[in-house]
Amino acid sequence: MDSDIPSSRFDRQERLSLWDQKLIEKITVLVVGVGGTGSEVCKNLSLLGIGKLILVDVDSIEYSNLNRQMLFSKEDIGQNKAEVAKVRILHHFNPELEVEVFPFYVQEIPDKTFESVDVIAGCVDNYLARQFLNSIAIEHRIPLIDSATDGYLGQVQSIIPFQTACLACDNPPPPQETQVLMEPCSIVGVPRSREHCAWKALYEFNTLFNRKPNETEKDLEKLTQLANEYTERYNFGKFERKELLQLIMFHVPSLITVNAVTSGIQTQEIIKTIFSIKRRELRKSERLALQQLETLTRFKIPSLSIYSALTGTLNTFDLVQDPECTVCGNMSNLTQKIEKIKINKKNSLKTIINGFSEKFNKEFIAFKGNSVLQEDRSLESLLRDGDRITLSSKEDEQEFRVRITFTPPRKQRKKE
Amino acid sequence: MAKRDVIWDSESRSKTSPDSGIEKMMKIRFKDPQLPPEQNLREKYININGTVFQAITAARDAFNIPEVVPIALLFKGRRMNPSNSLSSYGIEENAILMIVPDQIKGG
Repeated sequence: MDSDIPSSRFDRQERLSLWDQKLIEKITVLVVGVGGTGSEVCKNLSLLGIGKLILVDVDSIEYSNLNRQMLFSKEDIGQNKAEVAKVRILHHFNPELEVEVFPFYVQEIPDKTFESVDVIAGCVDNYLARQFLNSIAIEHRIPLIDSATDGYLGQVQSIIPFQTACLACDNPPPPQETQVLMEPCSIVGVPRSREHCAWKALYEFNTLFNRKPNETEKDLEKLTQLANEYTERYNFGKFERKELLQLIMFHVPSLITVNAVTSGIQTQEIIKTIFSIKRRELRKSERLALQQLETLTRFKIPSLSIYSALTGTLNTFDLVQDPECTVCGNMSNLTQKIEKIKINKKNSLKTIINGFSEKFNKEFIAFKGNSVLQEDRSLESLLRDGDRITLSSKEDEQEFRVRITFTPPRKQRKKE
Repeated sequence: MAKRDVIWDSESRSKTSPDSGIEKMMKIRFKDPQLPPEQNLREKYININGTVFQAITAARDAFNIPEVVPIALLFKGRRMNPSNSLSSYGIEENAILMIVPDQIKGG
C-alpha cells in the first residue's frame, strides 16, 4: 500500500484535537427508537466507528416512513425497524460494528441490558416511553441524550443524572393523547362529543391488543369500527378512516432535514458526553485538550438545544435540576436500596405482592416501568431474570424497588 | 391572561380583585430567542399573584403566538409549570422569562 494513503477509514476525524478513536470504539450506545431521528443517529454512530449499538424498536416500517428514514425502502414495509436497521447498518456503513436488536417496547427489554450501556440515545415518539427511558437513565446513572422533532422544530436534551435537569424535572404536562391513556376515567361513560368517541376507540384498542395502533389497513379498520360503534350509539356523525387517522394517531409532521440536523446535534452531544464522562480513559494529549477547552469555556454540553428550520436558529439553554423532582430529586425512590428476591419463575406475581401486603399490612400494586403488571400472571410471563419492578402501596406513597432473580427449577438445584 | 391583568395601575401598583385576592402588577420581560436580537424582548405587566398559565397567555399576546402552538416558559433554567403560581418562582421586577416551544415529541 502507498504510504501516503491513510490506513484508517477514520483518518479525517482522528486529525481532530479532543478525538480519541480508540475510546469511541469501546463505547456501547443504546438507541431507543429507530425512526426518523433514530435511523440518522444509527447511521452517524456507525460511521463514527462506535463499538456497539443496541437497537430497540417495536414498530414496523410503514409507507409514510420512507420520506425520511433512509435505512428503509419499499420492500421493507411491514418488517421490524430495528431488525432491518441492523442489516442495513452492517451492509452499508460499518461491517465491523457489533449490533444487538430488541424488537420490543423499551419497557420490555431485560434490565440487565442497561448494565453494559455507556450512553442512551432517546429517539422515541411518545411521552411515556421518554419518561420510562428517563427513569432508567437516572436509576442506572447512564447519560441520556434525548431528541424530539415536530415539523420545523427539533430539540435535544442532555441529561447527566443528578447533575442536570432530567425529563421529569418540574413536571412537564403530558400531551393530550397521553393524558387520555393515563386517565382512562376521563373517557369512561357517555361520550360528550364526536372526538370522545375516537378517544374511547383508541383506549379500547390499547386495552384489547395491549399496544398502540399501527398505520396499517387492519389496525385502521379496527379503530374505525370501534369509533363508529360509539358514534352510531350516541348519534354523532360517522368517522372516515383518514379523519380518524389524523385525529388520534398523532403522527406529527416530519421532515428529513429537521431529522438530520437534530440527529446531528444529538450524535455530537453523545460524543462530547463520552469524552466528558470517560475523560480518564482519554489519551493524555486529548485529556489536556479537553481541560484547556473547559478552562476557556469553549467546551460545553448544553442541557437543551432547540433548532428551528423556519428561522434557522439554534438556541441552547441550561436547565437546572428540580430539587422536588420525583425521579432525580430529593423525593426520588430511585436512590433507595433495592430489595432482592429469589423466586421460582413459575410462581405468580401475586406471591410477591402478598408477601409485601402481609409484612406491611397494606395492599400493593406492581409496576415495570410505567406499566401495571397483572398479579395473577406467572413471573416468567411478565419478567426476565434480573428484572426490577416497583411495588407501590395503594394506600399511601410507600414504594419498594425489587430485583427479581429466578431460582433454578428443583431438579437442577438438586444436581448442583 | 384576561385583558385587565395587563393594565398597569400607576397609582397603586396593586389593587383588589374580586376573584383572586390581591393583584400585584409587575413589569417582566418575555424573550423569544427564535427572533432577531432587536425584536426578541417584549415588556409586559402581569399579576405576580396569578398563575404561570396566565403568564403564558401574556407571552402569546406579546409575540402574537397562536394558541395552537404549544409553548413553555423558562426562568433561571427551570421549566415553569402552568398550574403553579408565578410568585412561587421568586420572580422579581424586570425578570426575563424565556419562551421555548413545548410538547415536541416526534421521533
